[in-house]
Amino acid sequence: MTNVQEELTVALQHRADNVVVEDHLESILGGHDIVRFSDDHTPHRGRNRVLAVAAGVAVLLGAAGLAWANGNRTQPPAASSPSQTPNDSPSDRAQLEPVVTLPASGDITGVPVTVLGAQPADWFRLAPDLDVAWYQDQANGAASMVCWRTPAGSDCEIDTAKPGEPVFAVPTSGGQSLVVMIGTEPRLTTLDVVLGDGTVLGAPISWNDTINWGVARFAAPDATAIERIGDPTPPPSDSIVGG
Amino acid sequence: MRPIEDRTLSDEPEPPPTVRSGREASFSAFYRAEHAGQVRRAALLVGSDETANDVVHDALTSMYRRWDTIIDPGPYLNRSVLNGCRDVGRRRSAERRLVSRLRPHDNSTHDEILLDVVARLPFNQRAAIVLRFYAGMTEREISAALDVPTGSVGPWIRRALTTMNKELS
Repeated sequence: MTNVQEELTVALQHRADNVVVEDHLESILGGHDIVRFSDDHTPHRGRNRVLAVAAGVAVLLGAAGLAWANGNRTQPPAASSPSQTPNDSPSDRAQLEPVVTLPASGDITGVPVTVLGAQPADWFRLAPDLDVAWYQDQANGAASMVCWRTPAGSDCEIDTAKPGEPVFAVPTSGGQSLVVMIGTEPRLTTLDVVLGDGTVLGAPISWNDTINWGVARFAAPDATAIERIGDPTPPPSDSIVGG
Repeated sequence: MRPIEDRTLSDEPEPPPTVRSGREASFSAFYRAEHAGQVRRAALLVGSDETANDVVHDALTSMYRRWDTIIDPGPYLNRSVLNGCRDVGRRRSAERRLVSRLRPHDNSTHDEILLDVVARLPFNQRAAIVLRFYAGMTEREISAALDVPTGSVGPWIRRALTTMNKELS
């Protein structure tokens, strides 16, 4: 083994010495190119858009399924109709409570706006353990960014979500994950997610009337374990990447 | 921690004297200290200089956008670049396997054959090998960079070395 390790160290060093390193510091500082990776490769952002669209379609299918299921519940069942619809399967849709809430903060605003700048400034408390904020670095001509923070962490991403689509799935404290939705009319009342191991979880969505965003809270410690959002029954065309 | 990478910094051209804001200056210093080493390391993981440059560029671009909010940029960049390499690897694994089968080894140097075997390792094993034998990281540092339990790294390295011994023999 030792011989292989020595050979490996030498081979890796030789290869590394011959790597062509491109310097793009000035372009980053000048904000002239934000993300270049998509030039010759599978686009990151494009893929995310595809995932968002796929997730949106799944959510719409889920909404249609829920509406259909609700319609069935309000009418006397026909003798031949099934007693349970697929969307009844995640039976535990009890409202979970946040385990740790965010502390009172001076940067919380009542009416959130997109702040021009290089980072979020005015946060909006969407849930006791979730703040969201928007900013746009106008000097860079960059896209609007949406940011989140919970007791478990924070991050920002390009804001591309549309009504009816999930914005992001993020971890919070207490082994929970939050899925954030933009509302449509009529609003969804519950949301199902499918974890990577096939487990289907359902949760009620708590809507905020100020920004028409909703939060569904799941007992899933790792938001990235949420593979699909929406109707749990059809096979996924793709997966959604959690925040 | 990474003496080999530090040595490569001399390859970077001296930046022209520029008046920068505090934010720009601190990011520039970080960029100069980390950029070349990260690209070299990424190239060992993804097998392409161009892709490695892109992955590191994307990570640094994203970091600059939120520079004021990042407390510990070194580990943050490590993690971002490794995630970027992992992402590339997922998309390219099928292509890489095919190319590997088609590529004749007759005229390859021993280094090339060795690196080809490394390139065909699963990402976690490959990353553990590169971080251990190129970057000189400890298993604990590797586990932190890959965001995995420390106990995973040793078996990955041993498995990778076993595979390499087998393939090279």
